[in-house]
Amino acid sequence: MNRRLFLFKGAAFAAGAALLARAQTALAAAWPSGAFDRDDTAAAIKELFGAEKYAEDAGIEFRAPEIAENGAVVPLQVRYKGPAKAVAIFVEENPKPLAAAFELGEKGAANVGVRIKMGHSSLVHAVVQKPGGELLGTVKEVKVTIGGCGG
Amino acid sequence: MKVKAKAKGGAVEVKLIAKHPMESGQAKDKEGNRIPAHYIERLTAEVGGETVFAANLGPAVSKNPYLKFYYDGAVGDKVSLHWRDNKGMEASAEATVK
Repeated sequence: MNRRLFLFKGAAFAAGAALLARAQTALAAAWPSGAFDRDDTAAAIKELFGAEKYAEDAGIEFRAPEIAENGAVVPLQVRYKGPAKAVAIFVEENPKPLAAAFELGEKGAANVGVRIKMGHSSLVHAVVQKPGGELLGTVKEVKVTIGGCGG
Repeated sequence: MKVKAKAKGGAVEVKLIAKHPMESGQAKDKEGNRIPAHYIERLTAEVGGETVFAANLGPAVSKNPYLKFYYDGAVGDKVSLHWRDNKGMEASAEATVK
């Protein structure tokens, strides 16, 4: 085999392997480090979803306490009855606003509960991404009596 | 990891608690040294080889993370859960839907 043919076959093999890997992990297997690293909410939303703004949608049921006595454990639940492919939670006043980003498979439902830490009282955004990429969201203020980030 | 999976109203409800310190990297120890960040980055749930749910978590998720999610499934499904943290530690668990 001459060198050129070898390189060509190698490239074809690599491309095939990449396609196979992508097919096996229909949900991106990578943790979105860039979005978790942003210290501004709009920038974090943009990094994660490609658009800075979401449309306010009353169809999103966002359960969050008005007053969280213990910022170390703030229970949140986001529910949207329509089709969706992702749900994410952003806490404006946390050092890094993105708290959690959930990916929903074909069989997944936009109904997720999680407990997070909040250092201070803050606006908390729940964002839902529809299958076509459209962003919906809603915001709530959570007052924190004792911060939960230690230090 | 403690997992409960239950068929409920036409869907399956999965509740789990993963044992993990979820250090934010913001806290300090008694000597005033910063405790390095240590947290679960990604948790996935598979049913029959298909990923139904994946959670990307940041250091702001509470210690011993609790998660609740739903997927379109039925009694008898085997739900395989797996997490990996920012130091490369991993854990798995499986639950049968009741």
